[in-house]
Amino acid sequence: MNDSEILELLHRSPQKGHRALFDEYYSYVCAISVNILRGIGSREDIEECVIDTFTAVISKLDGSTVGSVKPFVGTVAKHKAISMRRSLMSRSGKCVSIDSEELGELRSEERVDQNAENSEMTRLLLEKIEELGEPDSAIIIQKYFYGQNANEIGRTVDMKPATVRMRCARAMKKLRSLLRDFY
Amino acid sequence: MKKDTDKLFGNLSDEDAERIASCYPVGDKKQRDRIFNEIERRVEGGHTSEDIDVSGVEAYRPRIYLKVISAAAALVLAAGAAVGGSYVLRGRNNDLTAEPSSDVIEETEATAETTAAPTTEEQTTEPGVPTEEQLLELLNSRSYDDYQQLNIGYTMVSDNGVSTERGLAKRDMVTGNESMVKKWSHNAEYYKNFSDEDLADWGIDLDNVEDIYTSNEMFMYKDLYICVYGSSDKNFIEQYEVTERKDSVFDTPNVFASPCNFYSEVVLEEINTGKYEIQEISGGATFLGRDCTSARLFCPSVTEYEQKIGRGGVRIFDEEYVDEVQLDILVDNETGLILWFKDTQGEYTEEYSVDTLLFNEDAELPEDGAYIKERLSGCAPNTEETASYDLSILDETPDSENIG
Repeated sequence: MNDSEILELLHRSPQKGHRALFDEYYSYVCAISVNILRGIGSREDIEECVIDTFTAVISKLDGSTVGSVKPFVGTVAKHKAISMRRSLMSRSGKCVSIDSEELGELRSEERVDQNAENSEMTRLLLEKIEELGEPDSAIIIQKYFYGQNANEIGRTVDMKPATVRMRCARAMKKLRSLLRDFY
Repeated sequence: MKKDTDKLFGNLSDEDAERIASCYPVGDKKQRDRIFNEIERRVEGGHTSEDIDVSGVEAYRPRIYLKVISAAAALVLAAGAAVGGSYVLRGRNNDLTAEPSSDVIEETEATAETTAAPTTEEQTTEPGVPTEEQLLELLNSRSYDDYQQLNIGYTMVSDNGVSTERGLAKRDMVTGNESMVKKWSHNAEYYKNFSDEDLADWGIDLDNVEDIYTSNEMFMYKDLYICVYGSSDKNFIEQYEVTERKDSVFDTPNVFASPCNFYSEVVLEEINTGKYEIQEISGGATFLGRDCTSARLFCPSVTEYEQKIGRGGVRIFDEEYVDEVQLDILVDNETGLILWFKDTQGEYTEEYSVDTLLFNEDAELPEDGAYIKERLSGCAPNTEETASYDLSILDETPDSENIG
């Protein structure tokens, strides 16, 4: 479903529109939230951030909204995640040095050269993940980009949690070896 | 490793996130429904998480992923302070607790032979308790081939102490030679179903069952596989069998990795094929004086697992399936080897403990040609084919003289 159809649905039937919006962007918001909260947020924090993002997005969107929804969803997701990250860091007593890369990452999104390099690395990473083949690539994506646990991944790929763990460990080993020359 | 994965996966741009999201939807319908319902509840209530705490409405609580924790067991393992007799060493069979008793640990420490393993590539040196993923990585990082010489000895007590198997395997990677000795014995309980006549025929004295055994001594020497079938029965003439090594299960040096021999390999295969779910992991345990990680695993349905991999079921009695199996393991933090496990299937238990672990120069070499020749001299070939086998290879220069 594209953005126009989602907006149209929001106009005709708000609840169905909410669901369509959620279904279309849930994975996208998860990926952004996990990426920003990685290393500091728990699974529950990430879930909270996702819920908060959609609550805010749905509250702002209505039938009169026009234009593209995606950038709006992405921006809200990013801001919510950054805000939660700051809050978690302050609660955990973690201090960010003024020189640290992390501060730069939170303060500015305009580091063109770094972004290009990161993007190239991610492209390569995704390529290598795809080389792992299914279900390993799906397991790695679900775990490391969406923060899903073995039970949740198991339901998605129709495997037992223990099997997911085993395959994940082996796939990571393989992935590291595939990426050895690049990282 | 956490930092490592953070670095590896933590550079997503919005475009990357979009690309991943379009190819890989996250979660299943149940998860999506749960989260969407919470979003709807909040939208209808007109609040976000920031004002939940002060709004007075019922706050959403994310699911808490509880694991079954047996704190007592973890503490006992960590401290190695379980009270009670050692059914391993003393043959008692009424202790169904999962932890190796302090007697086991103390006595094993006192008598077992171990040496520090040489540094291997992957080690779990992080303090604290490993995650499930780290534990699986540790288990699968074991590599018997990292050591030029290796000895592993074990005791396997099954049927709640009724039967005992003791094994010792040796490998020399320089020559490729290996050997393995297995010795089986039983306590008096085992013989109670046999008639007095049978026992008399077999020369079994129930007052001295500790001395009764049968054994297999296997020598994987050069291109030969030789097995000596032994027994404590004085009336039994020991026999030997010879085949080409390539026709045996030991065609390459794999005495340790073969599930035919090492129960720990069987267990690991079962873990890797999804038999168990890890319930609990604890750090700080010691066994054989080595730092170990302990874990409790649980198989929710043996029937389902066995069907999945195309085997029958675990039958303890004639037609009775034991469908729930608990497995406790101790994993050596340095080598990834399982040093102890206890498999509890209903009332039936099996307990495996490594009692010898020697590396490289501390390890004994497998028996050489001269030893094997001498061992065979008191035995009879089991078939005519064996009798006609050319064993002149045993007369060749001992391996030790060929090295260096």
